[in-house]
Amino acid sequence: MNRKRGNVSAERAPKKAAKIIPEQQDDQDQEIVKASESEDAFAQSLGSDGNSEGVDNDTNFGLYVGTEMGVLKGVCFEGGVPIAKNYKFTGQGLKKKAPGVKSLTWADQDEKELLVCFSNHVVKTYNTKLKCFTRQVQLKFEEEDASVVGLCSHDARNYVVGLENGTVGMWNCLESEITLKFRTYNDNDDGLKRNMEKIRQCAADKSFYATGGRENDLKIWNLSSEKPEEPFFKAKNLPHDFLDLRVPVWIQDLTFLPRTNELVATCTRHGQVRLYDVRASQRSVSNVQFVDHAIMSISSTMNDRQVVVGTAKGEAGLYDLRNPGKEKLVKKFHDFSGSIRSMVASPELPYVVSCGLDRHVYVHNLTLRTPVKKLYVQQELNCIVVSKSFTLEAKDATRSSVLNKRNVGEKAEGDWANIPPDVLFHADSPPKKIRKSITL
Amino acid sequence: MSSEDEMIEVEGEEEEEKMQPTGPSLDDYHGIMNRANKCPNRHKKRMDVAKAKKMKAKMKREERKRKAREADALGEDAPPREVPKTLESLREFDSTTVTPENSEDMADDEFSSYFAKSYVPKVLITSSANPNLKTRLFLKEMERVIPNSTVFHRRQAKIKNIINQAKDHDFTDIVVINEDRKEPSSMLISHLPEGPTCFFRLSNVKLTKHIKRDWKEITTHRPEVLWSNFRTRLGMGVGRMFASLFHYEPQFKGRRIVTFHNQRDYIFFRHHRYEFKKDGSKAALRELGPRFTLKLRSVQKGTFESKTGEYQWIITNKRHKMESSRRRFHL
Repeated sequence: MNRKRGNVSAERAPKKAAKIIPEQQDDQDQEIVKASESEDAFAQSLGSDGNSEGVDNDTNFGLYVGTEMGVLKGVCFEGGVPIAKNYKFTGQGLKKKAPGVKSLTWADQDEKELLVCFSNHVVKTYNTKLKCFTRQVQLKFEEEDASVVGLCSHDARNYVVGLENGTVGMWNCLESEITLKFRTYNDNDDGLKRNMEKIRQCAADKSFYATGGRENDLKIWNLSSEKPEEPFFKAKNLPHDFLDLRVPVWIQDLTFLPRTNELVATCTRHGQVRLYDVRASQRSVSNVQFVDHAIMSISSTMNDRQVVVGTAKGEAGLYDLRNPGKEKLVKKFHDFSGSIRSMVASPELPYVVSCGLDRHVYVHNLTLRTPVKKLYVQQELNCIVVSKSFTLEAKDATRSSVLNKRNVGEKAEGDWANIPPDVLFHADSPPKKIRKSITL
Repeated sequence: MSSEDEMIEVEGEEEEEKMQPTGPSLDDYHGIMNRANKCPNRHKKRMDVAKAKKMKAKMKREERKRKAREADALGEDAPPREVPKTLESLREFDSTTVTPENSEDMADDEFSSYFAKSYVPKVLITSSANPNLKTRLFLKEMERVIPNSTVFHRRQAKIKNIINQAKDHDFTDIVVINEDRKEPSSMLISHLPEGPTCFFRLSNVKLTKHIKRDWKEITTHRPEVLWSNFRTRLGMGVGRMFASLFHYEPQFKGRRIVTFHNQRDYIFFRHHRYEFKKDGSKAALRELGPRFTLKLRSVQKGTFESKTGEYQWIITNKRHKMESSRRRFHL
């Protein structure tokens, strides 16, 4: 449990120092040689064909997006012209009905490796330093036709995989087998279509997972407990409506709020945003109707009880869920023209990146309606992931030295703080200060 | 106007003519207009403005004549003719404009199997629940235009059920015409089995009889399809969807041609029979009808699902945000 009491803003770590260049140019080559020896050996042992053709080692891709056609794209907003580059596992052309990328996750804290999970149960490991795929794993689930909905890295050796038919399994990489497997819902003959839409890992406590889907209400699982098949928390549906009819359940996306494993915000295909508090009740503490169509994605932000949501018709907003019954739409974000499938907001800075069916990657400031950056990447996008080295500024020698001087003595852990403040907030118009909330 | 003023003015013009024998200049025009603007006498003001405008028109005429004369004199070395500046030619740059380097997923979209000629399109055409006469006639004409198509009475069927049944009967596209105030008002085209679904506003529907043609002129030959001026990725998707309604092998003997032309995001549908004249001059066209105009409202991923479905592109409720400029076009 990572429960925080009191003033969080005081407890929050000071803003992380800026680290401009992840690797020094001098020893980069040596490192690559070293790494490639070991990685290639490992890759050969697994019989995979990692390719690294046409890779520019200087480019620092801060964002990665996975497309509907099964291509991983790196996006770089540094410098004047944004760059998007494709990474495909095989050298062949795009195949008909290629399996789409369903989930992108960092394999470790250092963000050296990115786990790219495809809908056909294939997990490929992309090495960000070598800029190529190094490993491929075929997950051996019995339910082969059920698409993967999410993959999380439990620890260094175990992945937690969620399937569309409601199965959650833990895959051990070393032994290549499923060590734990359970269903998140029971199949009843009540005529309701059920599935699982999403599985998410808690950032504060990696053993906590939340799942949800169509007629499959929110459940939180503790996989390191003695009985991992038993849900740690099981949500209860809303009471019947004014006509005494059952309210349909269709969770599309969910997120743990920062620094806790007891608060989960969900969004539904029927346009509601809900907040669940494990300590309070099984029913949602907040329930607010954002739009009349589907909400596709939700993400927690730097502000404790504020979430960003994106809808199927290209509307996006920042919601404040601090006061139950008095939820507030703080901001709406513009420029989307299609469904927003994935939004990721920074835990440290007022930034949100998003992508979706309109084939664009957007970077929004939480205080501005119009996007700060926008890039057309040619394919329909499913998921987005942000690296700690994400920045909007070019790697400028003078600039980096200035920033390094400014941050002497501070711990140079890379994170979103690498975005220089004057780029973040439009220099001439400083943002409004968002009140920081207090967790219970 | 007093006689003194006139005298002064006339003198001034004479002096200018002596210096510049080319006639009145733009400065004269502005001078007169300035004077007219300051003049409190409305009658005088009008006279002056009329005079200035006449002068400007004359200048323009003479300039055009001069250019023509110069071009004649120069022959082949003449400067190229100026292209008129239209909203279309000055359109804002759109990063999604399709170029050979910029079309990664075009080869693998939902219509790629049609363009690989792997199946013959089979189209279901239906309308809203109780169509009026004009819509019923329009459905009939659409059946004549699109080969291998069938009109079904909608009765009270739901679109989702129609789509499921159409999939079972190997239909590849369905077209639904809705009406408003007894006029066909919107068109929904859904590609089966996996989408996408496009919704258009339908306007200016003219049936064969409205353009004074006989439907018997329309032969049963498979027409050629021309879809032109679709530039962006969205536009290409829409154009490909139109193309996939028709058989991929036209019967040139019929000399029928169906055109979907995009102009400033309005898609114009025309249906012609052409004839190549023996002297090799421009082909003669005879319009067969119907004719109508479409405007795209939304493109949905998958088949029809208005409440919980996902949209690739939608303009409803945010037209003012998306149509930020008169020179910005989406197709």
